[in-house]
Amino acid sequence: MIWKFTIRHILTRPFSAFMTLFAIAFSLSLLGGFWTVVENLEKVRVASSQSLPNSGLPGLTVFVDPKLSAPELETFKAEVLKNPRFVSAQVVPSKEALDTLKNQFGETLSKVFEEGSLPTTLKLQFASGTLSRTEFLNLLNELRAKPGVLDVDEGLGAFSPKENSVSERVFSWATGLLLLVFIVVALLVSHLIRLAFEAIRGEIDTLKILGASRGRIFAPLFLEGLIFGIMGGGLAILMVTVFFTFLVPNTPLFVLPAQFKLSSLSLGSSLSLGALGILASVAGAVLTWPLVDQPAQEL
Amino acid sequence: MTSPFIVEMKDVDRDFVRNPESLIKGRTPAAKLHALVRVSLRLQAGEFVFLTGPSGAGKSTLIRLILGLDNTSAGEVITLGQHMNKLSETRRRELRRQIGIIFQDHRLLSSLNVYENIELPLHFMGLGSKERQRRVLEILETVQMRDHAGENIRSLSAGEKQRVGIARSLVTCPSLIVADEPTGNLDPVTARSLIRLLRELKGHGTTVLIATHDMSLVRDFGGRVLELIGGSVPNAADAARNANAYKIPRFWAGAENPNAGVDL
Repeated sequence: MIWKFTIRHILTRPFSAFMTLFAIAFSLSLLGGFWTVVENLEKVRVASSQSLPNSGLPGLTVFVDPKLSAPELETFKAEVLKNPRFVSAQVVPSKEALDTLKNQFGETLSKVFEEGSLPTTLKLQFASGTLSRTEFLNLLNELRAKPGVLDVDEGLGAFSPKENSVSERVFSWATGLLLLVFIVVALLVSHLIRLAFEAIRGEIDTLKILGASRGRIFAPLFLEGLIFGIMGGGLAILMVTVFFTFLVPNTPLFVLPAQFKLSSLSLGSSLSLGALGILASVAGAVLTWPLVDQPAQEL
Repeated sequence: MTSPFIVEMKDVDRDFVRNPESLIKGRTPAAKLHALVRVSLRLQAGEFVFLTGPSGAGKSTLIRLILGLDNTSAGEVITLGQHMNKLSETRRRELRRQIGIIFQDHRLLSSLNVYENIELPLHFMGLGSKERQRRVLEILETVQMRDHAGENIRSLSAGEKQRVGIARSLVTCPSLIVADEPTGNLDPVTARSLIRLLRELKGHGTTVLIATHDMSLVRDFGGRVLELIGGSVPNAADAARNANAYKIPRFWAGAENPNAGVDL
């Protein structure tokens, strides 16, 4: 019987119901589209940071204990060069080494080295090929563990904060958009239910007069919200998928790496989008609770 | 404190603000409309009572107060032992499940068929499907609508719709039935057959209160008569004059009460 009332509610204003459904789907698909772009950009970022072309890396700077004698230093270099990842290991002149130290530790701290004994600085050059992030970190740890090594400068520190800040900005935009879509969908559903409620107020008043509980009157409204959420969310996922699968690949909107394949919304994000639609619609239905709660207006 | 009466009203006033916008704007003073003035009445178990009076006399207001659809401005309404002013909206709805309510325009839900409309109050009471079915089929027999059980409400005549409305009010076996102008849209023959149906309930101990301005029905079916004029109860002399004019065979409310003309 609750289903009959729900269908009655929806069919009371078929045109409004259709337009609301479309507006919900459109709002959610905007968010879904944004998520898709973010997901793709994230893939590009991760892909480019996970696998670095060695030739593009500045190489590694190793600071070695200055007490090491020349033969001991040669033995150290030979041991490092056993690793095929490195092609050369050269001692850097004192002035250049001091500049590197300034970059590494800052002006003030590097003065300590000027006054005292300057560590021997070795520049290690990578062999050609690609290097995964994990391999890169392992290499750094191996070098740092060797006896006589004071520190290793990977020379990549300047890039990481920039990447992170972009990611955070995108995340805050996505969160803001999510909240906006949530509010819009909730208000749309609430407004539609209110319209239907007004149209059949007489029937609902009859139910109230006959003693229907608030829960029994609210159940069809809740179901209505749920239906709109499910349908709106489903339609939005379909719209986003169709847009990115069939329309965007033919339009060079983004400059992407040649090997990168643009993909549509992931399963997780699709489910999240659907869940958002359902939650927002149900929230919209809950907003109509005061109508359920008020006494019957007519006898 | 519980009341021994099915319905008891004590010095009930109900005022409405005629021009509520003026309260907000603060321009002209809002006029008060006195819908009910110091009305007192008592309905006992098994009574068959007509509530009469011209349009605008306050019949519907009085019924709304009995059903807990409105609050009094002053005085007290006790329905089925419950002080209505003290009940929450939830408790009022629960109480109304024990009252059979018949509307002038039947108020059947067009999205449901005859069977489902009658079944509705039983759903609200939380009865199981077998019990619901038993009661609905039984009451359909009583109102001679068994053959119409699966029919859409729109396909019924006005009289049939009102029969379904009465069936819906009776299906919960209420101890009180309140009918607001139940024959308003019906031809005289159908109207009489419906009132006869309600009259038969008196034998089952059910209290029936029918609001009507059709004095011929009052004359033909008798029972106790409560009259409202301009929101209050006329004095005994007026009541007696009216009784003679309509040749009502029974007594006016005032005649059976020591506070004639004041306490119904």
